[in-house]
Amino acid sequence: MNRYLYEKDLRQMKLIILESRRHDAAVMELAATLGIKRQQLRKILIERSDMMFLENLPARCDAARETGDDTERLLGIPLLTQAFHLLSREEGVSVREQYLQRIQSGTTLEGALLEAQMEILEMIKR
Amino acid sequence: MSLLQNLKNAVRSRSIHVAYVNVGSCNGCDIEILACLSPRYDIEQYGIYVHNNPREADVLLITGAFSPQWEDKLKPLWDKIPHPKVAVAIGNCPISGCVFNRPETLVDPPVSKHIPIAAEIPGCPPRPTEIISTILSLAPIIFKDYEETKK
Amino acid sequence: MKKTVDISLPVGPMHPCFKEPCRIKCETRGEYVLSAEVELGYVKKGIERIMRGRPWQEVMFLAERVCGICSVIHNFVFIESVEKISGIVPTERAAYLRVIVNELDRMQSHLLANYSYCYTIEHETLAMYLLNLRETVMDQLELITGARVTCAYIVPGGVRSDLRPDDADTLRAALDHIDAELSRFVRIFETGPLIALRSKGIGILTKEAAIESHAVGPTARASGIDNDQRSTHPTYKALGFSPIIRQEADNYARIMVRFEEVFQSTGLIRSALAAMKEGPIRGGGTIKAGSIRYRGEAPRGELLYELTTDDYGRILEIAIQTPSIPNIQVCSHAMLIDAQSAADITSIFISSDPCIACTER
Repeated sequence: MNRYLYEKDLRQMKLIILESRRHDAAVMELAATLGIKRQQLRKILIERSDMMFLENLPARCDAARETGDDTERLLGIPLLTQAFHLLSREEGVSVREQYLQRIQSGTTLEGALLEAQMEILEMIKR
Repeated sequence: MSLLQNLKNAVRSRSIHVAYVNVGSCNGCDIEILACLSPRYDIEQYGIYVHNNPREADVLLITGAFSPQWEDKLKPLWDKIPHPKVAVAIGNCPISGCVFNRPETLVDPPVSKHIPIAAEIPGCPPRPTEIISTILSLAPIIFKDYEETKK
Repeated sequence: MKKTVDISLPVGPMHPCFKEPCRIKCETRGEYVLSAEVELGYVKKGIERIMRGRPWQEVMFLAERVCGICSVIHNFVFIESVEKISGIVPTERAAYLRVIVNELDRMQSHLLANYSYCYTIEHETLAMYLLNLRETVMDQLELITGARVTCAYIVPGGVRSDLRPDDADTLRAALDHIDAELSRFVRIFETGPLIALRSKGIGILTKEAAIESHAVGPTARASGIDNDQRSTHPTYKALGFSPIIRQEADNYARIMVRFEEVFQSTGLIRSALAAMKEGPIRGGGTIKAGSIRYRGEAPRGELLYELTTDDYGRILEIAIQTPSIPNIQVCSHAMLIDAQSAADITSIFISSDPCIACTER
């Protein structure tokens, strides 16, 4: 891979984008669904996304909130797959199926949710 | 004064190449520069040619208060312009920061901290006619007898 | 077999085609674009940070300077959201005058966007025709508001100055001139084989990608999405507004949507002039505490203001979502991918009418 000319460290400017009010609300919402701190999610986003994508996060979240059923929304799958692009669509479907399987096999709702969150975090960090 | 210098003066006064750079403006001044290109104002009848390439430019028009990304880019850009060269600040932003120079802001005006500015056109935004008349009145002063005075 | 290489191709921040600085970093295989990302930060001023805690009289002028090209609509949406919080209703004549000024602003913005596109595909004659026509619109804007770009015409409860009867006649004459000239230019654009070849079928934006990225304005309407905030605005409803939608979803469709919207704007101004009655142009009112989320239709698409005020008329919290944000994002992550030639990168980018000053605020 060739390196670009005049390349610069963009992390500071990406953080300024994420500090804006609507961006902060979107990040807080997903961090709450995933059960992690806001700082951790910000770090993941800054590493993964380019600046234009970060600017557009609130609008993408608005569009993604209108899709998905109740289970998917509880797990935050529309946000993860469509708005934040942290998971692929297949991974989103598999997380949902495993969550439903666990509930059928007798795990409590809270336990299944915790396991699903762990699974999503594993997938994101991969 | 040599004959060659006279010839150069005559040619330079009718051939001014302009590049413009936006270092954090709201676009208002940029579209007024664009409006100068329109047949209404017809900037090319004065021999001014806008093509936005610093390596061929004589005059650099600067709009906008200074945003942090330009910290390491404006000076190299200025160095790329061949001599004789001149920078003109357009609008209030490069002069004082205009409305953006308040607490909590990210910009760092004035631009003259970073590169030498020869002329300033205040206004938010200035009219196209003011931009044209500034370039036309400034260029002959700066470019006249450049080789002879350099010695 | 032809040898292909993987190249990282940066475009910008200073580029002859761009009005504003931004940097597109493309990964290409030969001429074929594999992926693109946009690097911003060149015009980040932190307007939302400056606005916080300031009285509305100051924020009004700051809002106008979010974007110089579409300054009227920022003024319009900010004032209407403050009015909605405080329960102020503009007088009838003022409401029509707002529509007239807003549509004039839309016309000059669309003409400028199409000028940039024609200039980018190197059709300079048509570009100069359009830029000259834009000056006619700017003259009318100056005649009514008193300034060419940042005019601060709209104030809570009304507008700043009235339209004199002879000015209305000048405006009508200018509209006729624009209609006649522009239909000629549109014919040049539609039938010119070189222009159509470089525009049709290039930069396809599918409806799914547009919905996922929340694309707005002419960019979305050219992909068949019925999204225009003007259809819900009371004054526009009274004038019988209906959005223009095309299905081709390429560069050509986006440019044609803008051309058609200019014709629509002249029609709207004419009907507003006809419907306008004599009356006061300024009401009164006090700004009260409250919070609101208000949308308006900027030339580039849906503009969202989310703000909170207090009893003294100060803006406590504000967030602005400008139309360029989703449009540039969908352009760089959906339209630029699979571009067949590196020469199309700039033309595809410009066809989405990017405004970097809006995007970064």
